[in-house]
Formats: sequence, structure tokens, C-alpha cells
Amino acid sequence: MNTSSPVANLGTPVVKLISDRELLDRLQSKQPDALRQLYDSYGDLMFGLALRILGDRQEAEDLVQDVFLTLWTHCTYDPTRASLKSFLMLLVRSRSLDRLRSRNSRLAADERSHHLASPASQTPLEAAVSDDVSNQVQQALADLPPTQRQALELAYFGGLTQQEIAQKLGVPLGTVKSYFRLSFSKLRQALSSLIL
Amino acid sequence: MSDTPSHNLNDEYLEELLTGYILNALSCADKVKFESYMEADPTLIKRLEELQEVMGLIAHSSQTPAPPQLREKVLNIPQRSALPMPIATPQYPIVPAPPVSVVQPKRSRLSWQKVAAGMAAALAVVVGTNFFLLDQQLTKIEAELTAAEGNLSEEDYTFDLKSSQMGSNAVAKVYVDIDENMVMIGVQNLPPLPPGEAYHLWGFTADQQKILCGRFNTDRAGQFVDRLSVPPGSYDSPVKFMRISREPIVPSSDPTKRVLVMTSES
Repeated sequence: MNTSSPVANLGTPVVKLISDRELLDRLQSKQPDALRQLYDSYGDLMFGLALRILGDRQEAEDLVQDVFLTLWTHCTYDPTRASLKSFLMLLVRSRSLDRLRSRNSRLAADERSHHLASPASQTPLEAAVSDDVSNQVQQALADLPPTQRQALELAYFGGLTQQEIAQKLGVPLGTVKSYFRLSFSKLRQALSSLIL
Repeated sequence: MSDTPSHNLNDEYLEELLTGYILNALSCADKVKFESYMEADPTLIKRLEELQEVMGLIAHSSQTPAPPQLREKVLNIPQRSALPMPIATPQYPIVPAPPVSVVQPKRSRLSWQKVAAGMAAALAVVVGTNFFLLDQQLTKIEAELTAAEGNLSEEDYTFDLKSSQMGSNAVAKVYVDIDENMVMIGVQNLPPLPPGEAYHLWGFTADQQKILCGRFNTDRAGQFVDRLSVPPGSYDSPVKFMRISREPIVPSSDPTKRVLVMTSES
């Protein structure tokens, strides 16, 4: 697995400033500068993901802050297993879904997924902010057949199980499984240049 | 297609399990099945890691500028985490005051979500210095909560765990909230495990259920503090005691690979 993916501001040309390993070392040796680099590189991405899942700006803000606190106090990232970005997104996604499940534990899956109909609303300024990677990912997702994309988003942003998605979409469980397989295959192909 | 047990382990089927697993969307049965495949074929772990990179990229589709104040809060974490050394300077308060304001006194039971953020911050700060302080801090928080609510809910439990191994000074504190399906854990002096292994936190209920509350690893300093979510409906009777075991991440049928390291049993 990659151990030296570049850390650069999103929206800027990808320039290798510091490797994941170096950043991890700085973080573990409690150098405050590491937090700044980490935030400037991934803060918007982490916030956007938490906001999309939770649908609440304050809650998303709290969650991202919580994740950074965790990183600062006991960072468990292993650079031999995944890129730092993937690790951070995993952390944000799993914690956001935990909060979502906790908040909605008494709601049915259908109600839980209701806010997934569209991404969290953005201000005009927010909507204007984009970069090459985001454009490429959005295009790759847009190129998926609608049902495949919907199934993927229900799982990724809504935390629904395959069974719940099958019920929601009114398709057999096996169909949902193949949606996952096909959508990942297409995304992997479309985004291969971004996978270091 | 893949719903029947008579399928062959073809690549399509494995890919379906892989993508379902990485999204954490598999049924329990499929998850167990896939983990047994992983145990038999470690190359699947590599494939999972590759899919993880795709997962990381999907987040770009929701990229949103974070509010400016968030950056400031994050950059202030080192300052907020800095504590006076209580042993060297006993004349000062040992720990910051517990987050009393997060308690909702009118509720009939503790609201884990409301107190968790404050507790997490306090625990994270304290555990980095002295575990005695963690214990003290939790005790103080519990006292505050008790004072505010009359007494702790029947659905909340605190456990002190000690090492079951000679010569180890590992200690842990676990706070369980059944209603919110969450536990908070703080551990100190427990050596980090190599890749492929994890500490497993188990709860044992009055009706002899054994519940996996979460898996974790400690950092280089032997510490770990976090909240872990427990699947809803995992248990419905009081937790009697808790244990921490050292086990492979991929379940193994070899009992020698499962070692009890800590327990709350006296």
C-alpha cells in the first residue's frame, strides 16, 4: 500500500509537500504544525463528508473537531495499510454513521435514508468551490447507472445494509450485491489515475 | 445469484462480498463468511485495502468548505490538551472541572450523547498524563451526574478492569450505556499489538450472553480512549462484568490465539 501519498491543499496542483509517514511522525511527536497541515489538506473533505451523512452543520463541525482531537491524543493510523486520506475518511464516515445510528436508532431504515435524496445544501460560495479531484469523482459517480449510484450512496452516506437497500429500492438482495460490485468496478476504473 | 450457499468462490462473488464488507453493509452471516475467506486467503486483505482507496475518493463528491471557526478550534487543540502537571503542582486543580452543563437534569436517565463529547475531551486530556487522574475524573463526573440526576440509571454501568497477567500494570475503565448502544473506554499501560491483532472488549450479561463491544489497539504509549458503538439489540439484560482479550482481527478457530488480558472480575 502507498506510504507516501502527497498532502497538498485541495484545489491546488498536487505537490508533494510531506509524506503520510512524515506527517504521522510529526503528529505523534505532538508538533502542532502537523495539525495545521492535516486540517488544511483534509479539513474541507472531512467536514463535507460528515455534513453529508449527518445533515447538520453544527454536528458535522463537532464531529470533525472530535476526530482531530483523537488524532492528536492517540493517532492509530498505520501508513502501511492505507493512505492517510483513506484512513481519515474511514474515521469520519464510521463516526458519522455511529452518530446517525445513535440519533435515529428508533427510526426505520426508510426514515434514516430520507435526507440522502440530495447532498447537503450548499451556499453559492460553497457550490463554487471545487477542484479537479472532486470534479472527477462527481463525474464518475454521475456516469454510474442511477440505481447503482443510489445503492452506493445509501450504503456509503446512509449506512444502510444491503438488505435494507434491497427493501428500499424494491429489488432482490442479489441485485444490490451486484450493484455494489459493478459500481466499485466502474469507479476504480474511472478514478485509477487518482489511486496512488 | 450469491444468495445461495451452493455458489462457487468465483471472483464476482468475492467482489460482491468485498464491496459489501468495505461498506459495512453485509448481513452478519455474509460477514462471518467473508472473514473466514480472508483467514484462508490473506490476499483478500490487500484487495480490501485497494477498495478502501476508492472509498476515500467517494468522499470528494461531498467536499464542502468548513466554517472558518472550525480551523481555529482544531488548531487550538494542543493548547486545550495541555494540562498542568498535578503531581508537581498539587496546589492547582488536578483536572479541569467536569462538564456539568452537558447534563440534562430533567431527563429520567443519563443522555450519553450529551455527556460524551465533554467526557471524551476530559478523558483524552487526562489519560495522557496519569491514569489515576482518569479514574478520578470519571469518578468526579459520575458524582456530578449522580448529584444532578438523583442516581445513575439502571442502564448505565462503570467497570474497572485490571490486568490478568503477572507483572502487568495495565488498567482500564469502561463506561457502558445500554440505551444508547455505546461504551466509553480508557486504557493505560497496555502494550500496542502488531498488525493483524486487536484487543477485543467483551461484555458478559446476567443471562450469560457474551457481547463484543468493540475492537481497538493502543498507541505507542499503551493508551487508548474512545467511544465504541455496540450494535443495537445486542443485549437486553444487565452487564455483569467485562473482559478484554487479545485476538487476531480475522477470527480464528485456534483457541490459543485468544488470550484474556484484562477483566473487571475481582
